[in-house]
Amino acid sequence: MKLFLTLLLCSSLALAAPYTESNPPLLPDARLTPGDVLTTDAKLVCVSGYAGSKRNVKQSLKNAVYKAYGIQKHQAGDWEIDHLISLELGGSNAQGNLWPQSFVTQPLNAHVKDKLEDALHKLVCDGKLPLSEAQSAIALNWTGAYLKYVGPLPAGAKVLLPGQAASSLDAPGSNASSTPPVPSAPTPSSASSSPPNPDGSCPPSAPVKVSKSGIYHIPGERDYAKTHAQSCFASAQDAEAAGYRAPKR
Amino acid sequence: MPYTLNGHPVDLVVTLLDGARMDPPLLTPLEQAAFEAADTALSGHAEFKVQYPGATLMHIESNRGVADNRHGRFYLRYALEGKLPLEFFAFLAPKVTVDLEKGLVGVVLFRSPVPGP
Repeated sequence: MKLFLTLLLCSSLALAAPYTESNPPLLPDARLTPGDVLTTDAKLVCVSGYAGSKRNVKQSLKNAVYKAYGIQKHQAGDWEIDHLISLELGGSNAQGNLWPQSFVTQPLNAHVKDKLEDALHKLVCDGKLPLSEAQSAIALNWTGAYLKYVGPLPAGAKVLLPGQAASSLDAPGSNASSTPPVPSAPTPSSASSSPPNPDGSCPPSAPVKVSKSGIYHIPGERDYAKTHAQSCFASAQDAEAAGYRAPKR
Repeated sequence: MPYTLNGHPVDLVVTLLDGARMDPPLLTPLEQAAFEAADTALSGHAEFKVQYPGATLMHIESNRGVADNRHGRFYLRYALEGKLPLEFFAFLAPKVTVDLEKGLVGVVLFRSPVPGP
């Protein structure tokens, strides 16, 4: 039992990546930044100047995000507080949608993610991709989404695993680099649901609510609060894979 | 987690100092009072009522990593029929302030005791 507890503690510590200015996160920590949206209605985000009309994140909140990630100091201009689900994809300014991302890490950085955000926005607004699917993809793993919707990552970079920081990257072309699996749409068998809480809410690990009528609702949606969940999923993709559908708007 | 604030069912998120989410979320009396005061200030604001008729509080977040008097401390989201929800940040202030353009609401929770006659 003691050994088990020791191993558990060690594995927990290993998961908590010690991010610093010189070892920035390349993917957000899902515990701190699960993503959050204002809407899943493409009509509302596919209007000219939409993202520019959104309000700014307050500096005090940005500081709290840096602190939560363990980044004590950072060079101005080298970092941004990024919206995991970008504003142009309906993301919110809430803390759960924010994470510190570097502009200077190579080859993966905030500029690369910006390219993905623009591509997803275009796909959504051209009617080629449901907004909820774009939101789920970028929140699940933006590097995997890049590969799927934009193309190969720059400089031969591999899709990242959760918890990977810049210091864990091998040089491009290195044989030591293993290729993590590309996230793909979950199959019904892998999209397992979690039971709802007795009050009809869902646990933070599986926040997507499925209603009695088989419609799923993600946090931030208009009907989310009043939906009494029958089952809960980690993402909209998981709920769709299990046969449920997004609300019609 | 369904929660009721000023009579509205809302989603509640409490983000702890380390950035993790409290599960289940629970507001302190100060936080509860701050959210109620912010919602009351907005709901009673003449320009807010004109610009956003029917706005309904739907989601609140308490960011404990932010000081009570800083702009990012309390987050409120309002649903608007057929439109994108509105986001506001509230904070403790010396006087009540509402800035619709910046999405800021200053609320007063503590007053110095007024000396009696």
